[in-house]
Amino acid sequence: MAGAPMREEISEDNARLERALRAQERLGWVISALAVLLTAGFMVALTLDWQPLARSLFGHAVTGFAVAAMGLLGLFIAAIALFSAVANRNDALRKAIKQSDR
Amino acid sequence: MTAIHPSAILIFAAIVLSSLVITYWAHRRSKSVKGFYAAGGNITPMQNGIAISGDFLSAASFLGTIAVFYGMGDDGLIYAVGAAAGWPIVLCLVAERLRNLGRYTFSDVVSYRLEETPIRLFTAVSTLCVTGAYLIAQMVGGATLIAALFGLSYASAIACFGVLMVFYVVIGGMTATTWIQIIKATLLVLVALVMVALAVGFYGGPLPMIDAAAASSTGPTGHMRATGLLPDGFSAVSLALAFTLGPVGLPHILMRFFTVRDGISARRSLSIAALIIAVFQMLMVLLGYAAMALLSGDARFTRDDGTLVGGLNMATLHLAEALGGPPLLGAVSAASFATILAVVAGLTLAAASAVSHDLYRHVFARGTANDQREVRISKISAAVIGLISVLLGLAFEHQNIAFLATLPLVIAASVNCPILLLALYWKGLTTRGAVTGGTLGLLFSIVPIILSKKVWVDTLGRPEAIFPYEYPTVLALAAAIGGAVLVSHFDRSGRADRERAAFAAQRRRSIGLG
Repeated sequence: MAGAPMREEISEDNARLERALRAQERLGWVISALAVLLTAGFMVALTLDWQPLARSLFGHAVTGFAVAAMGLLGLFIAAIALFSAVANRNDALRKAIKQSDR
Repeated sequence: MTAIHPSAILIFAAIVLSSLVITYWAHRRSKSVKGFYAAGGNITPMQNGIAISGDFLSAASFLGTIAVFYGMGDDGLIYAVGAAAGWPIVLCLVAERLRNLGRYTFSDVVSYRLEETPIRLFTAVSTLCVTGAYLIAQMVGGATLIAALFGLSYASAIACFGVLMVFYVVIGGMTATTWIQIIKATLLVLVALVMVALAVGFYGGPLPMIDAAAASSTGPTGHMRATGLLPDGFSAVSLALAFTLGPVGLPHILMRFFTVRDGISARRSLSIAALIIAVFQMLMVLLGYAAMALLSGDARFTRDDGTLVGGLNMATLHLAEALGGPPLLGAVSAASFATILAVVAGLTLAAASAVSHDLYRHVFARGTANDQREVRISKISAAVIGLISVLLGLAFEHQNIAFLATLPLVIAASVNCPILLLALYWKGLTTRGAVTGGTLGLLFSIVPIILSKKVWVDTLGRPEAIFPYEYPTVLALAAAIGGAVLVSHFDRSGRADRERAAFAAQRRRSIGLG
């Protein structure tokens, strides 16, 4: 009868992995939606020469647009790092479950 | 601009020679179908990541972005941000699932649970449209560069280019294009880093450099402020959609996911590629301001009216010469040349694969095709595509290459991207829906582009544009999604039921559980 609790444990692990992968998928959609919205917002602001970003900053000629562009590029890098970290964690979980299945 | 310098010739010769050696080495590994299309699946995530970044960091990106900065000030930020914006989406939504479901082309994935013949026919057409438009941009950039550096005519330069690119693909297949891409991407990033270090060092920091850029007032337009690259909000949103969703539908990029062992490796290679691209675009912003600061008013590079000698697309090369003299000009020219050559080789391979793998093997010769014949047809297709792209490159000689490079992104974002994402994530998609939506997306992207000012007036010489905006992505994307969703929703055929029922198994396999 020791097989039943083990099977239960395996299916619980699989359910945990399925939940983790769904959360990863949701994170993927959130990052993607933000990438589209922020890029579109930035381009529209630049096209319309939106005054809050058209100003010079830090006492130099650098404009708010340039700072926002660098900020967006930094944000993309952070999003890539975050998603990769989550996906790598789920890879490790998947590997552990596969090993315990054997 | 200085004429041919010995250092430039030396670096050029080294690049061409090393690429020929690689092609010869790759030849023996490219005889099987898997070897030819996917480098045998033996590329590591790091190598593939660098190669993917190389595929996207094209001449349009390197030469075009800095040119837009020089000519239009902060409007160059549009290209810098846009070029990096799509990669988080490819990473999060596509990379791993695509590799888990497909073998050589993205059509394998779309047709996984949909009917093969109509889907492959459609995806082959869209692949040819995207790669064709992309090839034009690269050919124009490459030929302009070679013509300027070696004093050749534009026509002879573009012919030399066509011969080289076909040679790489026909002889070396995916293995050769991948390694050429790796060398070129490394060279390009190193050259950009050196240029930024020299420019920032010259001015004592990035902020003084930007001050100098703003102070230079002899350029062709007002410098720091946006100057109307995009005339209205519709064009801005359309271009943003093209940049963010376009990479999801670029066939030559998607093909690279099949050169690694599994889905996890595909995702890891995309993480590396996305990081390289984002950092590279930061360097492009700095180099854009450096070009504004250093080139404006310098009699070696500008005419009396402030325009650049050799045209706007020469801004990067002039900047290299201003920063490091002929040796750096040689290095940048060689990097740009290698860039264009590597990208056109990848594009040619993707287009040839659409003809041989999707059209020949799965549509016209179902059940009768063999591997050897498929590879032979792919090689013949590469030669024909090379010839066509040379002719198109001649027709589009005077277009800005950054603009030309956005056209394939518009088509990829409006056609391949929605169909691929719906196939991967929406249970309800059916064959009829996918073909209808994709066809509408294709029509609504290509026809308005032809009727827009850049083609209708500037290239075809007509008096007035019929489509009033620069880019039609909003319209085309809406048509593609709307068509696919509506037709799939009302599709009550038995085939549609079977396709919906197959979604659960496809999903499990796509996330590595099946």
